[in-house]
Amino acid sequence: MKFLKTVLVLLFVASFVLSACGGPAATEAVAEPAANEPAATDAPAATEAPVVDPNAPVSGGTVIIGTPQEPGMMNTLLTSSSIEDAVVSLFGEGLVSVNEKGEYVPVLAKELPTVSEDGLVVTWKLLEGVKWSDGSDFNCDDVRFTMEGALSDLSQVSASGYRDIETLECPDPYTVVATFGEVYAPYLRLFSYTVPDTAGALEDMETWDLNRNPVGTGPFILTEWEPGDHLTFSRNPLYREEGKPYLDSVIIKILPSREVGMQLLGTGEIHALWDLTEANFPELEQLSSQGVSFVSTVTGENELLSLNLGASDGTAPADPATAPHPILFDLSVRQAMQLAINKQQIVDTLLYGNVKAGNSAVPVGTFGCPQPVSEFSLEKANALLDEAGWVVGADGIREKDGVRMSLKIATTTGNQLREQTEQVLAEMLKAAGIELVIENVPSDVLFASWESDGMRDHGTYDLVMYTTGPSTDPDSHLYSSFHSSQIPTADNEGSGANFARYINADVDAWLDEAATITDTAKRKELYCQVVEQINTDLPRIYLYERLSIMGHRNEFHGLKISPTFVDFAWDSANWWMGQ
Amino acid sequence: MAATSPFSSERPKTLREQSLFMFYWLRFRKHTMALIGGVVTILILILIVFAPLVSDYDPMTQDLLNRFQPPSSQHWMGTDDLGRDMFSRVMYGGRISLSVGMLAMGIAILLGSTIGLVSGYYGGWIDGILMRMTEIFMSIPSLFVLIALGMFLRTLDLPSLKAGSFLPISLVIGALSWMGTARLVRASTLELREREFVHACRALGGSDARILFLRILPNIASPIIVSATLGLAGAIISESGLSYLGFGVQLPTPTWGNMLSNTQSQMTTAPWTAIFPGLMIFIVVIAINYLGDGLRDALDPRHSVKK
Amino acid sequence: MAIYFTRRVLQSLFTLIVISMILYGLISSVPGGFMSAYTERSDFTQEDLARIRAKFGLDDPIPVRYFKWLTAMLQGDMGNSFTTKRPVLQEIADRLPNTLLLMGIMLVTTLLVAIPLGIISAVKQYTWFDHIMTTVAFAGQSLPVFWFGLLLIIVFAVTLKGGNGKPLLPGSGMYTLGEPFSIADRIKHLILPVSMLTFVSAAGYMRYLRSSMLDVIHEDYVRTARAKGLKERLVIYRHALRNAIIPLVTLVALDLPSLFGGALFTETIFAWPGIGRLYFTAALKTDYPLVMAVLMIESALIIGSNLLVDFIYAALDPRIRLS
Repeated sequence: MKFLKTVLVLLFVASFVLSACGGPAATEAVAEPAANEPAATDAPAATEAPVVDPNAPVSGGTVIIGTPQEPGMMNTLLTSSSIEDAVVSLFGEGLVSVNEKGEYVPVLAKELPTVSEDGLVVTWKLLEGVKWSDGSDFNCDDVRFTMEGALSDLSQVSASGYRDIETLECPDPYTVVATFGEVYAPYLRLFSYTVPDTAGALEDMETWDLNRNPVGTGPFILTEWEPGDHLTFSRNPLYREEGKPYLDSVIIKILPSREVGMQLLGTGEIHALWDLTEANFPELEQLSSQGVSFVSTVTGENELLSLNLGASDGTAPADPATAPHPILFDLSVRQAMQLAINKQQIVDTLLYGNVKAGNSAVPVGTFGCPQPVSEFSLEKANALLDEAGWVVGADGIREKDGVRMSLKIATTTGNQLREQTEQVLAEMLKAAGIELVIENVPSDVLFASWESDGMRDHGTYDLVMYTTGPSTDPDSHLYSSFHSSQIPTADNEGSGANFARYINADVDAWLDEAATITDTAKRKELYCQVVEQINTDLPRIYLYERLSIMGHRNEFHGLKISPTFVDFAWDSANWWMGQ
Repeated sequence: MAATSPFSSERPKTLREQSLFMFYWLRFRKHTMALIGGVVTILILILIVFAPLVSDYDPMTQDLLNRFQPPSSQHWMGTDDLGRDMFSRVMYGGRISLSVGMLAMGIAILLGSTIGLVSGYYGGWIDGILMRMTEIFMSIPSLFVLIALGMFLRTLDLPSLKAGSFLPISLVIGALSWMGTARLVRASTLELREREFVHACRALGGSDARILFLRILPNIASPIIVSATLGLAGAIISESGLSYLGFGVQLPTPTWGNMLSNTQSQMTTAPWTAIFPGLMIFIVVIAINYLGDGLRDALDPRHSVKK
Repeated sequence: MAIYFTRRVLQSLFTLIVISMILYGLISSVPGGFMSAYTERSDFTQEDLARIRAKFGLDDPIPVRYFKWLTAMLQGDMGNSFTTKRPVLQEIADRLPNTLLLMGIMLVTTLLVAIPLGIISAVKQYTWFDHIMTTVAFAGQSLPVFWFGLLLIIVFAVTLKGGNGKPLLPGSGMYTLGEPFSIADRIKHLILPVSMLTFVSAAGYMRYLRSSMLDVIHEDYVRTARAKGLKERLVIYRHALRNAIIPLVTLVALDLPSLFGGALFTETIFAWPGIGRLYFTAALKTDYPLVMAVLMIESALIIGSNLLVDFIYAALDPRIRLS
C-alpha cells in the first residue's frame, strides 16, 4: 500500500511538472526570437489612427479562433484536412488567392498571370523584396521548388496542372514562365501556395523542420504549439507591408465540439468559431445579444442527391442501359422524385431560410449559371408515377412488376443537418409512394475509393446525399461528375466521379470542347448548357446551396471568408481588435 | 412455507421447488431497494411494450412547424428537432435499447456459459485453449475496439442486417462481454465436477452432455442469473455510449443512445431533448443493478451466512 | 518459481501477438480508410490518388502490411502518424502527461473518497448512512458517463455564473488561454472532469471495499480480537482493514492500464488533450499507425498488470505456482 502510494504521488507530481512545461518544448527555433519587439516599434501606427473613429483599425491585441478539428501538419505539400489548409494561410501565401467575392487576386505576384495566344505559355511577375520568415529572399526558385514538391512521390497535394507543365523557366529572379504541353484551362489556380526552397531535400519532406516550425511570407509566424490544445501565431516581423498585421497574435484553440465553441463565443473566451453549419443559425441568433455576429459566404457547393442509374448490385456497368437500376433508370421516376421534394420547405425549416434552394451544378462565380428552383407538386409527381405504371400497394408504397419502390439512402454518420434532411426527404417521398430506407455510414466509408470498395464508385447504392461543387473553375468538377468517360469501372480503375453513371453524348461534347479553350465567355456558355441538361436528365437532385459560416465577436473586425478555399485567414493581415 | 407441510409426502418435487422459490423470494423481499428496482423495471417494460396505447403520437411522424417545443400537457417530454413527440420516441426508443441490451446479454451469457462449462469440465488442453482465448479477449481494450468494430460492422452488407437493425451492435457488445461469465462458470464447474453426485452420474453411464446440462448447469444457475442481470445493465450503457458516438442503431429508428447523440447540440437551446433519454437510461440501469444486487443476496448462499 | 515466471511471460507475449493480429486485421479491414480524405476532392486525379496510396503502403495485401508493421514494432518502431508524420510514440508521449495528470488526480481522489466511505458503510451496515452511500454508489455505477458530463457542463459551465458574470467553472481544456500558468487555474479546469470520473469510479471501489470488509469482519480472528476485548477502532483498523484492503489493491492494480487510455469519454467531452482524445480523433481519421499504437500499448498494459497481480499472488501463495 505504501509503495502504491509513493508511486501515485510520484506520478502525480511528474505529470504536473511535465504538463506544465509541455508547451514550449514543441516551439523552438523560430527565426526571430522576440516576437513582441516589433509590436512595440509599430506603436506609432496605433497612435496615428484617430482614436475617435471606431471603424479605423488599431494595432495590437490577440484574437482567439476556436476550431473543433486539430491541424496535424504545417507543410502545405502534406496536409490532408481543411483545418490545416485554413490555418496555413496565416503564414503561407500563394502567387494568387481568391477574395471574398470569389475573384482571383494577386498576392505574391504583381498581377494575375498572363497567357500566350495559343494558351500554352503562362507568365507570372513576382513581387520584389519579399522575405521568408527565416530571412531568405522569395523568388522564382521557390516557385520552381513548389512545383517540384507537388510533383514529388511524397506529396499529398494534387499534381493536376503541374503535371502538364513541360518547362518552368526563371528568366530573372522575379519572372516565372511556364510552358504547357497542352492547354490547361484552369491555369489561374496554380501556385495558390508556395514552399521555400530552403526547406530541405524533397525526399526528406516528411521530416522537414518546417512541418512543425513553418516558414512563410505571410503576416504571422507560429510561435507555440501545444498539441491537442492550441497553436499561437505571432506577428511576422519580416512581413512586407508596413504596420501590418494589426494583431499581435492569433491563437487557434482546439475545442471538443461546435457546441462548446458556441458557449465560449458567447462568453468571449474565443473571438471567432470556425466552420459552423446552417443548423447553427438559431444559436447564433440567440447569441447576438451577447455581442456575437457571423460572416457567411456561398461556397458554390450544393447538398445533393446522386441517383444511381445503374444496377446497385455491384455490377458497376460502364453503361447503365446494359444493367439498369430497376427503379431509378426510369426518367419519369427521377422527375417525380424532384417534384415530390419541397426544397423550399427544407430551406425554410431546417435551414431557417438563410440559404437558397439548390437547382444548379454551378450556382455562383465567374462561370455561375443559376437556375430557378424546381417545381414542387405532389399531384404531378403522383400522376407521373401512375402513368409510368407504378401502382400504390397495400402499405402505401408503389410497386411495378414485382419491384417495390423502396430506395436506400446513405449519407455521412453524425452530421445532424444531413440526418434531419434525409428524414424529411423520407417523409416527403412517402407521400408519393416512394420509400426511403436510411443507411448512413461514416464519411470515410461513404467517400471510399474504388480500391476500398467505395459504394459510390462501385455503384452499390440507390441514393447518396453529400456536398460537392465546383471550385473557382468548374472545369474538373463538371467533367468528372458528368462526362461518360468518368464512370468508375474496373477498366478505368475506378477513375472519375460520375457516380450516377450518367451518359449523354451532348454533354460529353460540350465538356470536351470547354476543356480546350481559354475564352471565358465561350466556356461559360458551354457549362450553362451542361447545367441545364443535367436538370433535364436528373442524374442528381440539388437540394440546397451550402454556406461557409463563421461566428465571431463584434470586437473582432476584418474577418472575411473566401468562398472557394476553406480559407478564413486569407486576409488576416487586415484583422484588428476593437473595443 | 408454513402452508405446506415439510412432512407431506405428496408431490415432493413440486413442493421442493415451491419451497425453494419461496425461500429465495423471502430472502429477496428483505432487500427493499431490489424490490423497488424490480418493480420499476417491470413498470418500464410494461410502458414500453404498451407504448402505442400510452402515447397518442407516432414516434416517426414529423411536424416541422412544431420543432423544439418544450414539454407541455400535449407533448409530455416536448418535441425534437423534427417536431416528433419526444415521449413516444423515448418509449419506442426503449424497445430498441432494451432489445439490444437483452440480445447482447443473451449472446454474452450463452458464449460465456458454454465456454466456462466446457473449459471447466474437460480441463486439459481444451481448458488451456479456451482460457487463453478468454485472456486474449479480456486484454483487448474493449471501448477502443468497440469504436473500430462499430465502424466495421456497419459497412457489412448482409441481407439480415437491415437498416435500423440492432443485430450488429448487439453482436459486437455481446462478443466483447462474455469473458467474466466464462471465468465464473469455469470456476464453479471445476468445483462441481469433483462432487459425489457428478461422480455418481458418471458411474451410472451418464453422457458428458447429460452431466453438463442436467447436473452441473442447474447448480450454477444462480451466479449466471446474477451476472446476466448485471450484464443487461452494462449492455444498455454500452449501446448508449456507442450510439452516442455515432456507431449504433441507424436513424430514424430511435434508441436512447442515438437520441442523445443527435440532441447534444441542442443542450442549451432545447435541453429537454437531451435530458429525457439520458434520464431513462439512468433509471433503467439503476433499477436493474439493484435487482441484480438483490438477486445475488438472495441466490448466493455465502451472502446469507455472513449477515 | 522461475519456471512459472517464464511460462506466464511467454503466455503473455503470445497473447499480445494474437491480439495485435486481430486488431491489425480488424482496423485495416474497415472500408474507406485514410484515402477517403482525398477521394472527395475534384482536383485529385486518379494518378494523384495512386501516388498517395503507394506512399502510405496501402497497395500491399493486409498480411504483408501486418508483417511489415510487426517487424518494425519488434524493433521498437511503431511507425509515423499518417497525419502529422511524426513518430506515433512521440505523439503519444506529448499527450501522456496530460492524461496522467487527469487520471492520477482522479485515482487519488477516488481512493480518498472510496476507502473511508467503504469502511464506514461496512462498519455501520444497514444504518441510514450505509443505505445512502449504497444508493449513491449505485447511481454512480448506473450513470451513462457522457450524459453525466454533458449535464455537468450545462449546470456548472453554462447556467451557473461566477461573480464576474463568467461561468462558474470552465467546461473545457486544461487551462485558460493567454493567462500565465497558475495552480489555481489548473485546479479549476480539473474540477469538472475529475469530479465526474471520481463519482463514477469511486462507486465501484466503495462497494467492493464494503463487501470485503463485511467478509473480514465476520471472520473468526476478528471475532477473536473483539472477544479479547480490543477496542472496536483497533479491531477495525488493525485487523479487519488490513485484510480487506488487499483485494482492493488488486482491483486498483488491474485498473491501472486505464490510466493510460484516459477516460475516452471524459477527454472527448471536456476537450482534455490526452490519449483518449488523441485516439478518438485518430480513429475518425483512420490514422492506422496511431490507432494501432494506442491499442497495442493499452493491451500490453492490461496484460502486464494481470501478470503483475499473478506474480504477487504467486509470491504470497505457493500453491498457485504448483497448480
